[in-house]
Amino acid sequence: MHDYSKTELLNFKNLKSGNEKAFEYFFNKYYSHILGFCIQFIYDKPQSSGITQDAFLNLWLNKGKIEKVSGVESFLYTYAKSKCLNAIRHNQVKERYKSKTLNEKERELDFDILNSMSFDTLALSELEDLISKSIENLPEKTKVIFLKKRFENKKNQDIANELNVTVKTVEAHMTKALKILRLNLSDYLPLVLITLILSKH
Amino acid sequence: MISNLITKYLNGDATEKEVELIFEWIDASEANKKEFIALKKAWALTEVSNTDKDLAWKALQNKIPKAKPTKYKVWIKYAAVLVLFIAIGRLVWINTNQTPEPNNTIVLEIEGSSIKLDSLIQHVTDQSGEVIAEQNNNEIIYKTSKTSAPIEYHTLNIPLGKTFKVTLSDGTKVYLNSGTTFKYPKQFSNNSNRLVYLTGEAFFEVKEDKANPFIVNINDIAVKVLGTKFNVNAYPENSTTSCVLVEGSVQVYNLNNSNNNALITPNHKATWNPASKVFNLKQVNTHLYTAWIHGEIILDSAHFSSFSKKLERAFNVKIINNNSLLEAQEFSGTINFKTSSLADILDLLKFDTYFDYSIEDNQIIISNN
Repeated sequence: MHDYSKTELLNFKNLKSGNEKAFEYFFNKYYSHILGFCIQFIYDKPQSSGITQDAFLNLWLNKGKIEKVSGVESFLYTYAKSKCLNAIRHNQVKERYKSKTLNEKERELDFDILNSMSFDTLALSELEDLISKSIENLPEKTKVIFLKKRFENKKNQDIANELNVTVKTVEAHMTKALKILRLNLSDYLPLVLITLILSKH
Repeated sequence: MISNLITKYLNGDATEKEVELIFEWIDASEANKKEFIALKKAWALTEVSNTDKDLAWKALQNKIPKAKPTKYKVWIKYAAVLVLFIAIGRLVWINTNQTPEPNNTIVLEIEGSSIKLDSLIQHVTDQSGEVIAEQNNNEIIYKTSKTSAPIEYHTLNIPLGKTFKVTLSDGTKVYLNSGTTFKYPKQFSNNSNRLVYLTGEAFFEVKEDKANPFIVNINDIAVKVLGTKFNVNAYPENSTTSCVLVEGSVQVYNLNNSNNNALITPNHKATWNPASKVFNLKQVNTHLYTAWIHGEIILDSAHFSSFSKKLERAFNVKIINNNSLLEAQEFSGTINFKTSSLADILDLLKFDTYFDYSIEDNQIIISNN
């Protein structure tokens, strides 16, 4: 289970009573995550920024309805998810490829993936704990490379230069990190699969 | 092998050829698909975009409704003397503090002061402290009422890049396009014409009231209606003014000579040429003229120059096209300017006819290549 600090709980209480500083605290905490999440499905930063801004705006407007501190993150992800689904449904997602079939396939798959993601507070905090634990438990070098790549957004070449290794090594570590993550997340897979099969028929 | 490719894909580095390979692999078995989905989910949840958070926070702050308007309302309710003071105070504040700010907020001019309509929800009150209208996001709705007192006018200024909707006190709905100024009575009079003034572009859904005709004044012409839907395009930089009728019946006439008039029937456009002082009637597809209400520009074999002006207004930019090939090309389709960025729209056009462009300040310069 997630442990929320006193600061977090205090900020949540203040957010609910309409304190802008508390709102800013949650904004700083989640903005980059929600934006990153949207970009993974919309592939366009300005459009994703719009959705992210809307998510926070609606968090502010609906702050009274959120019951638990964990509900903040859950609200933001759920909002972003539904807006991304809408964008895909209405063909407002950037076409990345020349091939029409490929664009369609990507959209279809992204739609299914988004649809299968649940952001109720329990699932979200469990999944996140699991992910952060998995990252924590990666072999040291793999972890360093994974964190540089994923959280500092560095290019393979830059990481290679920085750590004095080849680009191939960086790629190998990234692949390893993903394999481990995949293994640890396998508990969540059956659920995904069932949802997928159900939604297909 | 495939893991490598997937990492590349999730990172946005895979080539089209590689993406094709990945999708083939996904299609090969349900297990593959399941694996891919798990990876993408993990990736999406751990993705962090490094971006300028401060800028995003400032933009958001401008959008969140402030508690201030309510306070203001309470004050004027209880202290009439304060009204003048606050009104002046606001005015001074607007004149000094606001000048460096770019002109991108919708402003309502009312009784000598200006109110920024940039919050999500706010009440607009008059001198006596009575709520006369309510702003809700991109819309302002006036309370239904009529008056026998002298008419007081309100003015809405819609900057470039914004659109707005107003419901007048008689129930008439007016959609205002970017770069438009609209002047209308706070309350209409019991027994006289419903007179409003327009510069720019607006779509009207006029509430029927046969006893009090609705009249839109646009420079030297007027549009007289009895209850109908129509679009008026009267931007100052256009050499002509046009009125497109969707429903009902309207009469357009020259204010200097009301004998110079024309009756418009649905699906027709009247164009007024102020130089020759002639109304020209033409049958049109009204959807092309009213699409902007839904945030769309419909192109029907349209040349670039015919819609670039619309893009300029919708995005508050200047577009300079030096590409003759682009101008010669005709485009058909629908552009959604509310949900797409200008870059997206240009990319889409580029897909059809390739061109290069650069952005300098607020200028989009399309080079000749």
